[in-house]
Amino acid sequence: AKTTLNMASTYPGSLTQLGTLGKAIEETIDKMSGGELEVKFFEPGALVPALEVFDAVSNGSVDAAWSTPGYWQGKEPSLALFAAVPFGPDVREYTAWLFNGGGEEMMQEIYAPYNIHSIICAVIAPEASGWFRKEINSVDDLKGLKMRFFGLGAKVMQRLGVDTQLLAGGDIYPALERGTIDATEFSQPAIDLNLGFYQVAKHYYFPGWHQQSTAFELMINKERWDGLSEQEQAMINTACRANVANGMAEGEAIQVDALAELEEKGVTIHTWPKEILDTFHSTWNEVAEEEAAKDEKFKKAWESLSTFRENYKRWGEVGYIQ
Amino acid sequence: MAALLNVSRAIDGLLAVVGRLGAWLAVPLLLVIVYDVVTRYFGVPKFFGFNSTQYQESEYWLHAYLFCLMMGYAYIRQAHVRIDLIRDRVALRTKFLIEMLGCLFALIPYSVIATYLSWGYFMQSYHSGEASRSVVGLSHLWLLKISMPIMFALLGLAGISVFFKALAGWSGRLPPEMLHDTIGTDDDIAELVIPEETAEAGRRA
Amino acid sequence: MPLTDALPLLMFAALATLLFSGYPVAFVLGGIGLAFGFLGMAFDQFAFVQFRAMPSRVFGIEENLILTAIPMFIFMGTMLERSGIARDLLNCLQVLLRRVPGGLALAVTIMGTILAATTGIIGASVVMMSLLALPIMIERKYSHQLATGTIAASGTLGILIPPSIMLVIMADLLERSVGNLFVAAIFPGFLLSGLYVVYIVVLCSLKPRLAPPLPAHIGPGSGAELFLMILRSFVPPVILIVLVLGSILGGFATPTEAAGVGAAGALLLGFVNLVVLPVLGVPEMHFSGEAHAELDDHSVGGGAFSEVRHFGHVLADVVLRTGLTNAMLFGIFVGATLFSYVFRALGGDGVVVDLVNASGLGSWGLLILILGIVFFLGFFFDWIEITLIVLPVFTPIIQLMDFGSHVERFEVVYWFAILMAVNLQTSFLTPPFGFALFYMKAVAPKEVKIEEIYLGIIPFVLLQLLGLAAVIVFPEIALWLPRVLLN
Ligand code: NA
Ligand code: NA
Repeated sequence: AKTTLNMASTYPGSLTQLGTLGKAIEETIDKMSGGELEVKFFEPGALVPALEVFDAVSNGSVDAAWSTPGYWQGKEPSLALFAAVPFGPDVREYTAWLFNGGGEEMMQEIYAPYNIHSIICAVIAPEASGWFRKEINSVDDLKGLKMRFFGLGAKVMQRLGVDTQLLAGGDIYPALERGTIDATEFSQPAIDLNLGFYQVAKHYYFPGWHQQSTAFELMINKERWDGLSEQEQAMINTACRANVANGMAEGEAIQVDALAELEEKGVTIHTWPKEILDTFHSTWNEVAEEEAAKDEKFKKAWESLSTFRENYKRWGEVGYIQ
Repeated sequence: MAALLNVSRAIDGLLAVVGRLGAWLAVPLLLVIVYDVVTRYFGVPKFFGFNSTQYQESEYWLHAYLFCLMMGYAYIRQAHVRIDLIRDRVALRTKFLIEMLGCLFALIPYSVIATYLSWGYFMQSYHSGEASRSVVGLSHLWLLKISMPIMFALLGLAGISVFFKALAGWSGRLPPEMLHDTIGTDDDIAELVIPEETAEAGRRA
Repeated sequence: MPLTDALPLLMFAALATLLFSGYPVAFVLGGIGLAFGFLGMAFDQFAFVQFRAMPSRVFGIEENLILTAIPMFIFMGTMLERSGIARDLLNCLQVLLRRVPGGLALAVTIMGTILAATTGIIGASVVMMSLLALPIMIERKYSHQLATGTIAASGTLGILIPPSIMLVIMADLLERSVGNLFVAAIFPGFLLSGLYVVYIVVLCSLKPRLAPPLPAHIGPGSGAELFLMILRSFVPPVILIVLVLGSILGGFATPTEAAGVGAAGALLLGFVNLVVLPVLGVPEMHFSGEAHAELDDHSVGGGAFSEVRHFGHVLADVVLRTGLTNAMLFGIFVGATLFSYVFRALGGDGVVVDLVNASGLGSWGLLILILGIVFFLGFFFDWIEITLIVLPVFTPIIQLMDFGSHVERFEVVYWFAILMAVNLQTSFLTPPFGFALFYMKAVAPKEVKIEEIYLGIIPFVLLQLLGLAAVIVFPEIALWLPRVLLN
């Protein structure tokens, strides 16, 4: 008999990568199973609001969700480390930790008490560091800057004197246009281009130190997951691994033209001066220490990731052309 | 019936106290917004060590309580909008019947189930020590989430109160001064006068 | 027909019927949502655990920062009304427009258009104008239908003319620039406003009894008095508009926060009008022939202390009315979220999508069909739900549409978004479920009957459809300005 899982999404299905990769899962699994297993994609808000999918999967009102662990740090601070780590690993190293270094398993342990089984289902290219109305030449230029910022990086920015703002999604563009805020982080060039941020801010900063790679997840209600056949579970796992590869390749490919088009539209592409980047880095280390001291699971995940990276360093240095 | 009406009076009194207090949240809401805007631009210091994100989050906290605390009171104050195209043309007794059926089959079950569901939702947040999604935002999110079971419980109470009053009206024993808080029409008071006398007689007997 | 299709359709039918029972809309929505959830359970189309999504959906409403603007704009409107500022302005506009047919209705349309540029939602303008203009229009013996239609339609412009929450959400869903959509909506917004003006002038010159002009003996007697009247009545609202619009354009506040700034401004102006001016001995504006209702908008005399105490009473009243109107609105939001959730969980979306997929129409046919569906859904759902259902589902279809040289391929999405936005204007006005109607009904004087409101909006819905047709036939109305302004 046919099995259907209702999957609520955090991102609109049409949104480049963030949403399209979720839609892709629906399609891949449909084809793999010959229509016998349906993972039905629902737009954000259709079943539950975008950021309520955690509770909904947990209590079983929806079967599954397409999201990122980064949104759940208010419930479990450690989950932030499974989505995007400031000064974190790139896609290669991150997937190495997640899939072969015990990362994904650890994440699943953290989700288990919430009755959720979560699978890493995409890992994509770096984000930009953000759109700024004015050039930033020193750490001092950051002081008093009003910037919309989300995620662990917000704590770093705040410590450097940035007044981080919480803005409703739709208010970001008009606020940046009018100078209500001075800067915003958003997404990758290919996504930012369509959203027209170049019309209101001309300085585009890289690298996105706060988000060198972003992981997305397929969350499934634990009872529903346990109730699936071994074959169905295997199809979902395999579809997600394939999605990781497809998303990574696509993400790398589409930035090229987007970046060129942005430059053509008069956007200045900046890279952070070493001095500023170093300050971000040392501040992040302080923040990470503090977070680890506050939360046991965060500490465990942070240590696992740090140890992995320490060991990886040697290979990273000798294996690749620098 | 008199006992039931006393229950209604007690509920209405509770709703009025909570609702009238809740209404004043509009003022702190306004002040927080203005304060946030002013501190952002004119270098005014931020009080209590709060950051902008926390001010902005407290705006929706205040707003949530503004409507949650007033939802039930709005029913007895007849602020909930009705489409009374047809209701305007029916007899007073039918209006009481509509109100009773509405309370019994729509409002009360809706409030009971929503209270139950949102209580569970609040408890999950309470037990997990949930904080804001923003790392620099407010903690203790359960303080906000408990507004939902409060709202639905107050709404359910309002439904019970109106049901009793409508029942009294339907059986001709509703004091005229309670008419407006039951179904909202003022122009039918004349119809009530005679039933009221009967009720008085009934009480004396 | 399979049961899976019948349940959502029955839900429509139940809503359409039971709304007319006269039981509060918010609870009818909640009750039907609940009942059909249980009905779905009986037919294995729904599981009780699915109800657990409801608190999440309600929390989504609580957590929405944009919605905090609603009580602030309601506060602003109520304060302006209770403190007499709004009445002064409207009286003055009446005097100035006394020689134009339907002068007061025109004043309302103009105010609605100006207010639209300061708010991104509809509630504020409809509440404010129903509170301040409707009683005066009734007093001046305006046709109730003309009065209510004008207010509802011009108040609704707030969500089309930028800033607009609706365009923001559409841009998000379509993954297109909000800026482009804002610019594209400017001319269509003014087009609608212009259509309302023309209609009012033409109608009122043909049927002057619908809008009796101000009798000649009312109003200031001399030029100096007129000048004072203009000064006294225009200064406060101008300050407020500068405050609200200025804080947005000057980059001090987001459109959402501007509502709070406006509310604070109204509070200060009310204090000036009720306390400062009387204490300083500035005479009140007298407008002979005016029936003083039970408004608190006049000073009480007896020195500073009693004026302040009176202001305190006015503030308490404003706060209470604001809270009640706001609770009414959010009651509907909460009830509607359960209704539309169950509708969707029972496969209601599928019915709509299947209809489009099975039609086998070309680009033009599909466009008209989708707009038709949106117009129809507008009778029963609010714009947020419609946008959430229709846009994401049809976006891929729309992106494939080809209109040849009528609209370039890359502009089709923007054009379609504006068509949707203009089309959705009707959803606020069409009964039984229309937010402009609910707002108006909640604050209108008792003698205004719901059937008068229903009849009153008909010509304006037709004008909106005319505007929609114009943007379909002449896409440049939407597309020209963004081309010129943004590369
Ligand atoms: Na607007
Ligand atoms: Na409608």
